[in-house]
Amino acid sequence: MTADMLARIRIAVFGVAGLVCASYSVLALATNTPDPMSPWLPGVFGCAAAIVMWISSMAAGLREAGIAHDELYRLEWGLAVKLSYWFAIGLYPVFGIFMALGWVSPTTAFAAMGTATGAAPLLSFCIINLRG
Amino acid sequence: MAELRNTLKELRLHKGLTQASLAQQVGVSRKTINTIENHVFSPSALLAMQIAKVLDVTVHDIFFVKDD
Repeated sequence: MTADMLARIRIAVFGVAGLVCASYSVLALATNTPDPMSPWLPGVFGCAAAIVMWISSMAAGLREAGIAHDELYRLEWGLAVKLSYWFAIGLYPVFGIFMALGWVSPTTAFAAMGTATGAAPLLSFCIINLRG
Repeated sequence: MAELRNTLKELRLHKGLTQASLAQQVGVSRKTINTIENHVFSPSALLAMQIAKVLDVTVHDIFFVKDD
């Protein structure tokens, strides 16, 4: 397995895990329920992404895995985490207003914010990486 | 505002290397070499020195500061 293939697998698993988390968040908000689908799904997809990346990296070997996680990757991941940090901070006042207005229940807000926070770095990384 | 520019593409082609082969020798992804050549990404001092070593030139031969 080459470093390029490893990078493509990373985008795919980050993208899928990020989309599952984002879908959960949007559906929780849209239906105003904390469990619009199985609450295990985001966690299962997140763990599956980690396992797939680990197995792929082991199959590729240390050198190829190192190439796939070079300094450009670290820069892009760092940028994704920075953006996600501010996104997660921004969720608090937004959901605070939603709850104050009675639009969402606290349990729904907890579920929607948690999964949106999880989705943010994964999807941000995919966007940054694919744009670059 | 000063910008970091480079002649990496010219030097790489002069050496007869593809982006992929240079990336492999340096130990980074092909995309990293591509983004350096397109002035999207500025490499670390360590990576700049590793690239210079593979191309058998100095860092100053590859990278220079362009003032407006």
